[in-house]
Amino acid sequence: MLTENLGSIFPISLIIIILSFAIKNKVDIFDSFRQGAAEGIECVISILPAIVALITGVTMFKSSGAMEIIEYFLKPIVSLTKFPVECIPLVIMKPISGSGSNAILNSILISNGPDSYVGNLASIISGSSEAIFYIVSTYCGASKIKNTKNIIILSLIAFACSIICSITVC
Amino acid sequence: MIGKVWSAMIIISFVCSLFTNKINDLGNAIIEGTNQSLNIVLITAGAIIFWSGIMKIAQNSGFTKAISRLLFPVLKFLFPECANKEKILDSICINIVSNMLGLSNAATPSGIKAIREMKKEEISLENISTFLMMNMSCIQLAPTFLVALRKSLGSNSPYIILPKMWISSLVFLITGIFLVKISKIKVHQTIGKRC
Repeated sequence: MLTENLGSIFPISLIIIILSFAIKNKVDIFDSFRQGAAEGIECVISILPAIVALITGVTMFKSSGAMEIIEYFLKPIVSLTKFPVECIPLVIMKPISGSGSNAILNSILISNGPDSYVGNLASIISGSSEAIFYIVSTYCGASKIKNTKNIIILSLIAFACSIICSITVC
Repeated sequence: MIGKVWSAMIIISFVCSLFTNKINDLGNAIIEGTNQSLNIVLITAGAIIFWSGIMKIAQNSGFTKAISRLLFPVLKFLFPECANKEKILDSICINIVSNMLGLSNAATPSGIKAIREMKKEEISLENISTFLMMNMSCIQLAPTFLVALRKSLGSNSPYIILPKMWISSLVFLITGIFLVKISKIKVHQTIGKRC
């Protein structure tokens, strides 16, 4: 029962703990919340352009039949492993862009159902890592670190390990 | 990079639609896709805004400070060179906590701040790589966007994936840090001094 509800219990208890901290330290709770929420709105607006571009792109890609062609060619290779062929585009997109992989996840969840095996696996893959290339380019770009080849290779290996793990636990 | 992928995606879908005779569907997809994207943003916006608010309470009430005291031994082990540089550890902590709440967009500013300070203090690339790995593995204790998306598409148990997701994230983090640590000598010799 606990493992089933762990996911639901966690966010609620987190809020309770944070609120009790705030009450104990006499913080103006609602004012802080409004401040943070306003920053949240900025954050939503900042991801909007990328989401519009990428979801439209992915929808076009799917409706043109390109996804089926790719799946058709990859199927013989991928079916040797337990990995579902529907998740291949997600695995390719995940290291490149968070919004892009969210767009693909959205289309996988719509066509397979969010509670199916494929839907669960896709959610786990997309939740268990971040866009590697994006992080390296923004963080190292902002701090002018130049040679990033090693870190990209190492993180791609770690990414592969986490995908294998996702398949095992799912 | 993403620009190239995106334009390739659109060009490939155009070429494919010529072969599969789905040029009409492609035209409709533009309307459908733009519609859908706004829907997704609207569906998940509430959750992102709500958790950003909670996160601010956590910051103001000293919750992140408490977490950082809790995490201090771990951070000291992971970032031995930053052990007595509180400013860096503070930024790292805010970054980790935002990531844990699934607000990776909100985590970026503090992450950049941390990494800039690390560079200014001439922290080695090994430590910076460890920090990047932590951001990439992105252990999301409350994945705001994901759960909201699953719920909106009719999932009965949007939270059920969480424990499995944590395991996968942990595997990413542990292999990542392990790889950074064992490649330490190489990193130092080849690029450590130049960066």
